Amino acid sequence: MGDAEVPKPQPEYDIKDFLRACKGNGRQPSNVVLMGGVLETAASHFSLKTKEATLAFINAGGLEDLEFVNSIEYRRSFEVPPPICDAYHFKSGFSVGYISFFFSESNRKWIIKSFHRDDACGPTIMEFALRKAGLLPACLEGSE
Amino acid sequence: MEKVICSYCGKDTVSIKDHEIEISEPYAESSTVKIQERVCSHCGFSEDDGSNDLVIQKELAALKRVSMVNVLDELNAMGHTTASMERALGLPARTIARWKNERSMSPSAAALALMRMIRTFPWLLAVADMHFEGEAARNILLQHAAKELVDIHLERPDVL
Repeated sequence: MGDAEVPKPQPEYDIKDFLRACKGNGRQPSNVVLMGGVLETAASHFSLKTKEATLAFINAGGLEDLEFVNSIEYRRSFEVPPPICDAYHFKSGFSVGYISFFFSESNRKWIIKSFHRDDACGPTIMEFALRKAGLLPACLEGSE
Repeated sequence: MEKVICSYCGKDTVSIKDHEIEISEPYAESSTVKIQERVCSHCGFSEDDGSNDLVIQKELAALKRVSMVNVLDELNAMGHTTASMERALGLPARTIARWKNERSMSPSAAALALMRMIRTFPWLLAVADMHFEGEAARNILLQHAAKELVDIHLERPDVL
């Protein structure tokens, strides 16, 4: 991994700016774009079957317990320097999700690069619940 | 004709690529719809086309209707009459009948969610019939859980 690809420890963007942008929902001209493939994972992983539904979910506070993962360059960029992509884990109901997005300065648009379930990313909802109840087996303690 | 511009690089070197996705609704068969992806030959960026939502919503509306009709048919086949379900759930008379029969009417998302839950756990109708009283609800749940366990044991003695 080159120096340029070392993940940044802090988010590149204020998440509130991204969430605010999602308010202009998919029916109207919006400055939020779904990259190819995002619609399919949103539908199959979260039953959010349209762009409108996906943005409305985000706008309604659907990305719960957001946890910053990393900031890395958008590798397929033509821009120099390339835009930085922020990634977060979130919880929604019984699922843990992963979202990554970046802001394209050249077009002043937010681009959602990934939006999918990520149950393998860390403790599951069940682990959270067991830990909260003090019932997590000792062998799993500290597995985060 | 409006020029299609790449949302990322801003160039008009965008071509439309058709591809099919499968969408499904519980208690309805799945369906394949053709959606469009905009692919930019300059920067390689691919994005969802704005017209996809309408195509998907139209197909989803049809699938939801099928789902509601299937759910109600199956509940009727189990012996739950439309009138008895309306009474237990406190719905105005003919509400469920209209969900089932009026093709021009799309049942609301809440109505569909309610009927799917009842199709999945028909004993919820008995709970509703008891005005959702806590102890009665628990007894009904336990009775059905016990019955399920007995059924599983009879079908697969090795499991339990």
